[in-house]
Amino acid sequence: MTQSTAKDLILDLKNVNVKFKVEDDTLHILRDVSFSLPRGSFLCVVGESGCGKSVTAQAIVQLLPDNGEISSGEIHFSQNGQVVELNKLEKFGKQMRDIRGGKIGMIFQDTLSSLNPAHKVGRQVAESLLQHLPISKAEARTQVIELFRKLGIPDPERRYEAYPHEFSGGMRQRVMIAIATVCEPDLVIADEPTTALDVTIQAQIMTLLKELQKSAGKSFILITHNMALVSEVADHVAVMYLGRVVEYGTVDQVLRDPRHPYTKALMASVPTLDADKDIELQTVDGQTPSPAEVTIGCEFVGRCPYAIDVCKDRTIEMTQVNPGHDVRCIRLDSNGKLPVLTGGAKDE
Amino acid sequence: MKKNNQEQQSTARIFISNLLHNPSAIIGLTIIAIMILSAIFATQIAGVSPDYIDPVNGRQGPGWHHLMGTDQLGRDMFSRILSGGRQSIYIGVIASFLANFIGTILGSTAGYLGGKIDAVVMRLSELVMTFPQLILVLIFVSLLGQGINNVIIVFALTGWMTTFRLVRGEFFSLREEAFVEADRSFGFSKPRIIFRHILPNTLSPIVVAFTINIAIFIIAEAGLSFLGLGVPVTTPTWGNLLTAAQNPVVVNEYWWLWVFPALSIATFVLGVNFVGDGLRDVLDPRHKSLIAKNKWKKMLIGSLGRSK
Repeated sequence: MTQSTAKDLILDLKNVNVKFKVEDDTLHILRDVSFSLPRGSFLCVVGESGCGKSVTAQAIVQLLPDNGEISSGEIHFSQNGQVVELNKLEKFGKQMRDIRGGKIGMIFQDTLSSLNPAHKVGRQVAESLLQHLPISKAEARTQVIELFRKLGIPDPERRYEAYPHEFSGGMRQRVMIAIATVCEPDLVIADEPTTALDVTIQAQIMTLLKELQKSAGKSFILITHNMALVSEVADHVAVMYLGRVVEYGTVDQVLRDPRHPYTKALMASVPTLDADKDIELQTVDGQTPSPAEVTIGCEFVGRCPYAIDVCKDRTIEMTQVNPGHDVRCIRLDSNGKLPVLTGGAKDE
Repeated sequence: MKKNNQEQQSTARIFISNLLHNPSAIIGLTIIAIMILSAIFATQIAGVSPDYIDPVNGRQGPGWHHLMGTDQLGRDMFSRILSGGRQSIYIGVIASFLANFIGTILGSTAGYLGGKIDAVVMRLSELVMTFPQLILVLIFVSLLGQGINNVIIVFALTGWMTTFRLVRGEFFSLREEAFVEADRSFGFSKPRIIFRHILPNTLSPIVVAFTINIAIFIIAEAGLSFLGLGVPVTTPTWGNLLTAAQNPVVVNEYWWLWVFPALSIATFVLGVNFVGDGLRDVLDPRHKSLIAKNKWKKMLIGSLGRSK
């Protein structure tokens, strides 16, 4: 990769490994996670619970829990035209703290517990602003009220003085978005921001995020397990399974033409309104294996209808099936297609 | 429109309103207010200076002229008890404030950071706690000498552990909250997260500990002065006035010299405890609404209805 292309990437993860120490065990939570995010694009990270989506986000902003650490790999973040290696920075040093909140904003799932119950919401947003920019309190207040208005919070002057418990879930999420975006960060990481909200509010919030991406040119990483949402907002999709990115590509490539057996199974399990109601909805069989089990080969092997013995025996690398579309599977033929499944595929 | 107004009410105002509708808090606050005011205006209320010596009228029992009698030098006991409150209350409040301050700072830092810092401060607090407090106080007083300020310092240095443990415990649970994680992701510094963001959430136990410590320190001051180790005898404090009871003759013959100071200590401590109880009720999250107010109203109306 040449230097010029690297500069167009806002974020570039290379073989990031994260390990957690739990009592005497070491759990390998992220395994060689690599993906890159072009500036101004919207990336969705999808996968089952426990596949490492949130840990990836925590690793990027260097806020892993105390028992977790990035054991190897590189996280490059482009800041003011310069590429910084985030994992080399001191976790709570000035530079990292300036990036957190200033350059990378975070939006969380649980809106009630993510806002401090003891402070007025306006102050919480303004504080983020005062932390990162040299402006006065009065200026911060005007900016926050202006942002509240832009984000569709009614009566922003009065809501500035309210406490989090006086807000509804959707309004609280707007406040969270305000905190995450008030400093005009280049990258916003949203960790399942709409899971706790009902569908109408979910749509409003997503529209809001999409607008922010388009109007302000911000890059987004959205962590979710809602495929419908992905198809609406994403430019790029990364599918994760048990700590690995198993498929990465543009939204059309991954959703319309899934190549990895896991992505295929995921797509098949999305219910649609016009589907024949007599046909049973497909599910991904079996359970996600525990990360404590050390495997050499493909992690999905136990649940994969295409699995053969070789899948268990060796590490599987990402292969390119189309420009920008990478899949981690050895069962793909030279055209990047999975073999046609016959009844006896498992016996092979 | 009415609903809007209610929404706009700040939590502080709801808190005060709840407090003023809590029976034990009202009783406690009234007692404390009366005693503080009478301590400030002691001379005016009693009509005599607490230091005015009138040997001819020494050791007179309570009467119209001297409401609580006079001591062996003929000083008016009423005036002395009122002004004795100045020092006792001052010591109690300031010492409790300082002890709480130390406890809060150490507790929040140790509770948030955990690890080695926590272990060291925790052992230190255990050390101070296991050492008999009276002996510790004796050592400090002999090192620093007598005097009101020294008594305050001694109390602060030996009384911070309760608050420390309380705050530390609160921080242990609060530091795992999602909003703390969110704070970190906004790039806030550790001191800012500890003192600006988590600490306000632990204010209620701290306020309760503050009131309870006031009561404890006022009693402790009385005990120290009774042993002649606290405030110099020349300054009237409730504890110093009680020292008269060291003499068996006084205990038997001149009861007013020790009963009244003891009663004032008991009343004030009771008042402080009432306020502490009320605060505990009001600051309890389940009481954050105006439930307490309505309950009190219903109780009043109910009893009035019955008496009719």
